[in-house]
Amino acid sequence: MLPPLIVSRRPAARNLFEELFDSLCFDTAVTLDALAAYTMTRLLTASPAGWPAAAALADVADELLATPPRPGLAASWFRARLVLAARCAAGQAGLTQLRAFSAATSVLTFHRLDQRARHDRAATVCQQIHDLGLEGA
Amino acid sequence: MNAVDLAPAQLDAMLADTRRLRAAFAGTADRDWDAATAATELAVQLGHLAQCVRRDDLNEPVPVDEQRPITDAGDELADVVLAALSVWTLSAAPPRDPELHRALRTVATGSPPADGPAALLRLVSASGALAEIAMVENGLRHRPGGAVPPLPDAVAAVLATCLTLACIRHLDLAGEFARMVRDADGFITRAQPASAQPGEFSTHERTGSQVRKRLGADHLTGRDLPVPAGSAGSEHLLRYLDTLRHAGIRLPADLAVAPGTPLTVTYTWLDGPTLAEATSTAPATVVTSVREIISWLRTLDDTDARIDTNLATSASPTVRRRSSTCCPR
Repeated sequence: MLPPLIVSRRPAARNLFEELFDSLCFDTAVTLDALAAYTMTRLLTASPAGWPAAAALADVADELLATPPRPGLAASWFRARLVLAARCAAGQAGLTQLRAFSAATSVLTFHRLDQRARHDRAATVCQQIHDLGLEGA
Repeated sequence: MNAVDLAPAQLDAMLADTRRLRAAFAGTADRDWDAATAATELAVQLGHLAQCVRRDDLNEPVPVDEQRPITDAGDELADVVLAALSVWTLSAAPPRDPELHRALRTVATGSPPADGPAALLRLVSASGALAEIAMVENGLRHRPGGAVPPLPDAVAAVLATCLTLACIRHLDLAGEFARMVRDADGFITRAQPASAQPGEFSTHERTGSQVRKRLGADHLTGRDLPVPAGSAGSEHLLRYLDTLRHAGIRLPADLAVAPGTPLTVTYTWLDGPTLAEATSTAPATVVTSVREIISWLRTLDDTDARIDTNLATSASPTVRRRSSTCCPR
């Protein structure tokens, strides 16, 4: 099974993307938020049959969101994704907003940006998180 | 074939294929689609269909790009149907398929169009109405005054007109749709070869059911995580695998680490839907799988090992075709 993600061999992040990506791979709290958010978002946007399934993960989201938010770009991005997905599953937010925020926080898109654009994107997303109250506190 | 000739089972199959294809195509674009995006795609496919009608019915000289020939009216008509059904399946309000069935049974088709171009004009008209609804729903356009048809009626109107056009051209629309789905599946497979899937850390070769995966290829993101991990050697990889097994993670029974460098593992291919596909086809199973993966992640938290959460789905009840990817996008 490859790649072996070995914590003791985690390389140092050299830029904003690697900070985000490495945290996604190695920081369990971030990975959990990201996995739950991604799954709920996919279920919500794939088909009507996915809505009850997304709602069935509400307890998972609640449990993850009960832990205090952590500092850092990746922690805030994926916590915010989970907060919004949970709201959407509860009927408190719309799919359009969910899709837009997922696109804004796409890891692959973030990788394609140059360093300056990444900083701009990070600032924009940070503002969105604040405006939408997605800190998950 | 006309509107009432499209059997409910055929429509259900088309909807299921649409949802599956939308999930599969999601990996080929930078951004997720919504109903308005699908409406834009509807315009694209109408343009393709119009090329065929202009060439075939009006004898207009329409250049053909040999690299991308747009000459098969049946295929283009099926693409129009796919786009229209995508508007339905991606609608912000969760669509209820019985409403579409009802709308298709009762849609008013009016007098038969005189010929293919006349039918195409009706299709453009119906598609425009559907696109407008999609844009309004997605907050991209104001809601116009006057009567706005409900979404099911607008989708049904497009489908009914497609059926009429298919009848004029002696095409079996359901058959053309099924053929398009097969082609689309082939495209998706080619667009995402196993060694170039998003998030791939390694290259792998597949011969029949046997997979041979090598560490060290460039990752799509340019991240060099495999390098420090790979320099650890096969012994470290074996310890890593033991850690996973102790955490309760089910690895392929015949997973083997090959000696030498680069690090290489072999195992038997596990067939099945990707996580993205399963969200459309087996959502309850996805819930079960994700709960299990979360338990693995928590168990591993005190160890030196982490897992690629997409990869983990291959060991969970939701089996995926891909054999290695990065974390969720």
